[in-house]
Amino acid sequence: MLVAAAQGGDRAAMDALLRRHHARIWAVCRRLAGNDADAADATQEAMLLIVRRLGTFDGRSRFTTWAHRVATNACLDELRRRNRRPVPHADDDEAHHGALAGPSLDTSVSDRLDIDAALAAVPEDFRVPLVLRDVAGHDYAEIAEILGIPPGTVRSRIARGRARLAELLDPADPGPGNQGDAGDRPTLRP
Amino acid sequence: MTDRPDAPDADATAELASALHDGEAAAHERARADDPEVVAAQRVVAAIAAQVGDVPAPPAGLVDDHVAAALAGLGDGADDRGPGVVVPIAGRRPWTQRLPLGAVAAAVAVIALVGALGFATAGDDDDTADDTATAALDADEAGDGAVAEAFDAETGATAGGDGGTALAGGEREAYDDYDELAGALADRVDRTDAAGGSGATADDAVSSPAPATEEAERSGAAGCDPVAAAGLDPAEVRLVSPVLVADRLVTALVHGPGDDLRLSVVDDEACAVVEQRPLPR
Repeated sequence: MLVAAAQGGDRAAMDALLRRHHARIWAVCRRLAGNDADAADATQEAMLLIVRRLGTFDGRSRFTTWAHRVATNACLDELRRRNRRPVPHADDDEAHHGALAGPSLDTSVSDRLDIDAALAAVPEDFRVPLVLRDVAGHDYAEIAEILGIPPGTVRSRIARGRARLAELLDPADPGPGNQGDAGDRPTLRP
Repeated sequence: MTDRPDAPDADATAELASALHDGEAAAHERARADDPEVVAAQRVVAAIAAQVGDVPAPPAGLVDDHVAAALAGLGDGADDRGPGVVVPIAGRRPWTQRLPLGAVAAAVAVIALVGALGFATAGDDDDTADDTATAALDADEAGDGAVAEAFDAETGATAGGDGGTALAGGEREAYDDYDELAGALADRVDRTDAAGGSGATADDAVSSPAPATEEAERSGAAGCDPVAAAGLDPAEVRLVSPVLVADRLVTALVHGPGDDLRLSVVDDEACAVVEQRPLPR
């Protein structure tokens, strides 16, 4: 088993293990950091911590869950150490914050910048479980284990994070592929 | 979400839509899955989830850089190390609490003898110290290095060493990370400073550059002089201690200049510095 071999000091196994998990850890850190540079540093710190703490993994949870707990904490610690908030995009003005309609389905570069800005404005308590769900694909029980909170809290925080994003993402902004009547778009509010 | 009269219902619908999207809704909740409001809200949730999940790819080469840097923490000889060294919790107890009183007394005698003969001036004196220490301590303990043990034995005597289990061959103090190591060494150096006025012998023992090299050789880092590997001036090295950090064999060096103490950690197998930081006060 790859994890056991890595724990035993097998360098090739450790290499393979890190490569297997790098993309998803990068994605989590990227969404939490809001920009590539901070995400790269945070991912680096997360990988180092995984190597250093691998000996403490006891197999009681999935390795991915354990690794993402280490990575999430490392990423948040790294960002806090830098005392930086994710940097909102310049287009993220106050007008966007009043929007109640949902976002367009477009995922162009323009929208990715918007999502970074919107995520930056979502409180960390909501943002982290949301990212662990939509980026890392963890279920609520795993997120609860990673964050040390009850699954019911995970559920409500994810819902509130999404509702906040729905408010922040401005469908009226006619970006690429984002044209049309905002009133026709779905909203989280009935 | 809570500033409208219909907010509670809206929040409930939004949470239900969110849970349905994630496949986390309870059976009785799924009965509402066809409610037009819920369907519309689910559409929004799906769009948001798609955007959150659409993460920009990492810059080219980043994975190679990150993996290489992380593996550098393992040391070059990691392949051959076999299973990680398991150190029992008791192993974390200060050496001062584990050395038998007899060993402490013998070590103190060794220190006194070495001091009287002039520790740093004659190689024959080192041999004498080793022979005496070997007679007093377990042979493997002596092999772990006279400098750190003499220091610990001295501080143990000062603290009234309450006995304990003698160290097994090659056993080192284990730490989870460099923060813990730095804290422990800071305490030791503080004790050294506190006892410094009472015994020049102990002070000489921990600051002598020659024993530092011997310590490295005896601790299993054959061919590696950690002081040289760290690029340190031997005269500024205050403490040399072979330890385990996250199951990694390393040698911790506390060094000056002066009171501006720093910690350098040399990987025994890679013979390279893996950590440098100021020593906490």
